[in-house]
Amino acid sequence: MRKTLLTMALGLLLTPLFASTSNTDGFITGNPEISSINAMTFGPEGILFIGDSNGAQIVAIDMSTASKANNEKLRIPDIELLLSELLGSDSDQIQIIDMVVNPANENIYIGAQHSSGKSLLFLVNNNSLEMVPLHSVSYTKTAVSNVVASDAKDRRGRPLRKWTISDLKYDNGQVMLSGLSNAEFASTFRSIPFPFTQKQNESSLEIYHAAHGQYETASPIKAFTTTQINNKPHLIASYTCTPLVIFPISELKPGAHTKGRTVAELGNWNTPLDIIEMEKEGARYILMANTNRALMKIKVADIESFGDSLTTPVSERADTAGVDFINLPFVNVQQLDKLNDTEFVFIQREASGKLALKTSNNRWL
Amino acid sequence: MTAQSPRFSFTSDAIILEISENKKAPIFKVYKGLYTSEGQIYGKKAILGSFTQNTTNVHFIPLLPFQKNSNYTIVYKNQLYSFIIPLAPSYNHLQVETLYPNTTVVPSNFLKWYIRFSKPVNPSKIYEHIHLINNHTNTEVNRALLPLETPLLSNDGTLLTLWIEPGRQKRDLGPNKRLGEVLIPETSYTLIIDKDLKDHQGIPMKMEYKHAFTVSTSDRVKPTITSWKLHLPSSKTKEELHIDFQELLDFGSLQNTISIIDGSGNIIAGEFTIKTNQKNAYFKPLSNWKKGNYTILYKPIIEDISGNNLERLFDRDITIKATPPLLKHSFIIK
Repeated sequence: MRKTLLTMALGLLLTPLFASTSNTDGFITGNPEISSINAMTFGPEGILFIGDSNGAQIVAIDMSTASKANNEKLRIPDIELLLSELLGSDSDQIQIIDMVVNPANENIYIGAQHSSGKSLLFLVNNNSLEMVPLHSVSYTKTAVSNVVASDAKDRRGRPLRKWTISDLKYDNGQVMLSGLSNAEFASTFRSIPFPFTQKQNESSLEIYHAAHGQYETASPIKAFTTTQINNKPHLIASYTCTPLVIFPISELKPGAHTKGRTVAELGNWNTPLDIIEMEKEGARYILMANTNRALMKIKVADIESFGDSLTTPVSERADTAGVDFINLPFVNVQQLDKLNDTEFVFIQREASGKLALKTSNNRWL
Repeated sequence: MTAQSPRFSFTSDAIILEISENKKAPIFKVYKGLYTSEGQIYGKKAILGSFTQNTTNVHFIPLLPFQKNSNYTIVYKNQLYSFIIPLAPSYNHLQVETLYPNTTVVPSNFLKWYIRFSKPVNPSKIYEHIHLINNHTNTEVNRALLPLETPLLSNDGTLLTLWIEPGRQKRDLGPNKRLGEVLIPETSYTLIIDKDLKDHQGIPMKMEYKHAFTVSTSDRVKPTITSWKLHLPSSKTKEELHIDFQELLDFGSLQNTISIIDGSGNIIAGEFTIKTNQKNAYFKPLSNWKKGNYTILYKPIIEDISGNNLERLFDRDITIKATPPLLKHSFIIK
């Protein structure tokens, strides 16, 4: 008996060493029935996460088997014209929703929405766009429940409530998403363990924002990223009402009245679109694309050393306050992602009015 | 086309080419635009779609339906053929059905409108077609409405939530302190949706939409259910229970946030009709009311048109201690 127990104990100890587990275990091949592409991000092993607000779901698709695209001399001078030609539709009927890079192979994916309600996924290849069919893919998915039941309909049966996914990130086994309600100015930030499980185990968090320690709103987060601040995992998030805040991820607990530390106000009417982190010569930088400002660069060390939160009035610099940031000479950047260790890819509305996809590098850092 | 010309027919969803022989027909390409020579098409991308063939026809199904009233060109065996899918004369153009709230007076810290369109609207660049005009200066109020790259539209694309810039409506934020609230008391404005706004098929509205209103002082008082009036139905009837809110409440926040239970805690099945513009809600039960005790349950997120909900003000002063809200109304049906 003792030998048996010892064998069992050894077996239990050794199992993890021999088990071949992958994040794509349990994926099935088929049609994930994606109703809308609202936000995208890549996780480990070439897994693409798609936030589908209309379908109230997060879909994880295995993109690891996709061929590496040819992105030499990457530049698409008029991506709206290209989409218009490919889809046979006026460019004002098409909107680019998100652009993400698979860090495993630097493939660039673009999610677009047509006015008919159809969402499409494209791969950038040879300075053109190739459609990525989504009706037969290796995938898994999980439902995202609404805070308030979404089945409210008017007398003609038209749906009323909607929770729109505004940003989506993967970090350390968690899919995190922020969203906006069409009914309340309220914040719900969710964290869902990945691989997904059958049981509903998402954490739903209320996030607040206090202006100078006096007025507080349950503010929706528009865009966010994760990073290490003073060697601890943090969320860097931006609200729709312009402040940039940081949260220790360890404090994001369900039911907690979570209030971030404000590190900057970004100026009126300025909603961040994408936040990424780049590194150069050992220093880390946050790059942020905005609706109404140039591409912003913030040194992570400045955030780390910024001890004070904006809880007391501060002297304001121009239209902003808080940590220093530098406006880079890239205006009207609408999409931004890290391409590799030294380059970033972005989509920019140029002075000519054309929407161009191009790259730049860390010489600006 | 000559007598030997290929026989094409067109719908929004397909191009059909008749073929006389049961053999694989050469594939044709379709381009957006009107072209008269292949040289003009050089460098352009053909429209994405799929081909199917049977013994008499080749079908091209575009990835997205062809737009109405737009030119397209087919290249087939080095020849060009153009076509347009015409818009039906009876086409029902996009229009605004309702605005919530549609009141002609709003407080200066007013937060959002809901715009109900008659059909799904084109979300792309939608904010470029929505304008807030100061009637006194006859100029557009800059940076008044919050643009989102994914507009807050209901799943069917007909209900748009339009936020006044929250950075200016929330007290003590930089934009609020420097620029003040978007809406100035005792000033009149017009919300305009221009006629270039298109529907989901790319067809613009025929007429612009205008809604004029004036601005009163800010509303910094939470709504409270004690000021709401109930009009009770009679037992053994399916009469409506009527809740009179006495003030304008937010349209979206009232959806799915009210329920009614009987004395045993069972939810009463029925249908709510929310008429926020009339400050009323009605509940019609599926079965006849019975004599007894009932309770109306309200979720704390029900808010007024300035974002103050039953639990807290939109921008709550955290130096003032909050009192828990009342969220239940009890009534007896005799």
